[in-house]
Amino acid sequence: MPDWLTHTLVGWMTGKTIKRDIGLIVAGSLIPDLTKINLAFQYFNTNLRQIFDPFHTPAVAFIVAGLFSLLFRDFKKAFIALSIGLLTHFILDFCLIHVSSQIMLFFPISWNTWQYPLIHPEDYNVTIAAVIIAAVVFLVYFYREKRSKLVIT
Amino acid sequence: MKHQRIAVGLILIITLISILMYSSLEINNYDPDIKYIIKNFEDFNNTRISFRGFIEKVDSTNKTLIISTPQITYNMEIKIDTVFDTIQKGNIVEILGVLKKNDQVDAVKILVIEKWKSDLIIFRSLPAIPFALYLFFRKWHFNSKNFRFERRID
Repeated sequence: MPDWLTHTLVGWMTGKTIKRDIGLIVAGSLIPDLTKINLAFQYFNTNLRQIFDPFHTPAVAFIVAGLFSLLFRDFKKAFIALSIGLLTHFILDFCLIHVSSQIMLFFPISWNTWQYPLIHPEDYNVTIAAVIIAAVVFLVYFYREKRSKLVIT
Repeated sequence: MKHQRIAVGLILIITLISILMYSSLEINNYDPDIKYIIKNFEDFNNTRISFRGFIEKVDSTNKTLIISTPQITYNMEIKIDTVFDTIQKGNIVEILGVLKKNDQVDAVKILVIEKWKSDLIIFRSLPAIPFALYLFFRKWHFNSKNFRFERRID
């Protein structure tokens, strides 16, 4: 996986650009990494990958997003925002280089894994690029909002 | 509306549990981990396997690596025809190869991740947690009375 900072920044930029609920998109962008809960169990020499690995598949991630969206008044809107976040996560992870592909796109129908190898998982340049682009997006929107306030006054 | 929400929630929970149960039952048939492969060596002999581990020893002359895996304390001998300059003890490796004996793999592909770069992923991830929580709770708060997130009034 790219690190969570990259995932959250890409989620934030997506939310900012498409003018949807940023908080929910960012939350959605982290849902597939619920699979990392297994790391805590591995620390105590217990491997529960059979339970946690499916969370890093689109089907299960969408179910979790569906369950989470039920906690909102307008659950359809919440689900759409969470789903956008999920998609940004899977697009980024799909581009990671592994010796054998990692994402079971069509699980539980198929256990076949897929990838489009572009980025090394440990490559911090991706994070640096995400931080720079996010800063540019922040500045663009900051000045645009400032200018629109000036016009109104 | 409330009943509809409960019904959808129940369907989703049942579907989720079913998928997780299916995964638990079938994971060793479709995506076995190295612990299962070693225990059932006969079934996987001369087949392609992939796993992740830590480099314990590098033998440049015989072009072999000794790998230990987190799932099982086991030293796996990896034969690979590659440049050994960049590979060091402590590095994390992903191996794709053919299992030859229960402690030997002829590697086809190898991906080496330096230990500090792997640790850096965790450090880079830490700031994301408060950032994500801030972005979420800036707009939403949880109302425990009706068990729902509600939009904050600006």
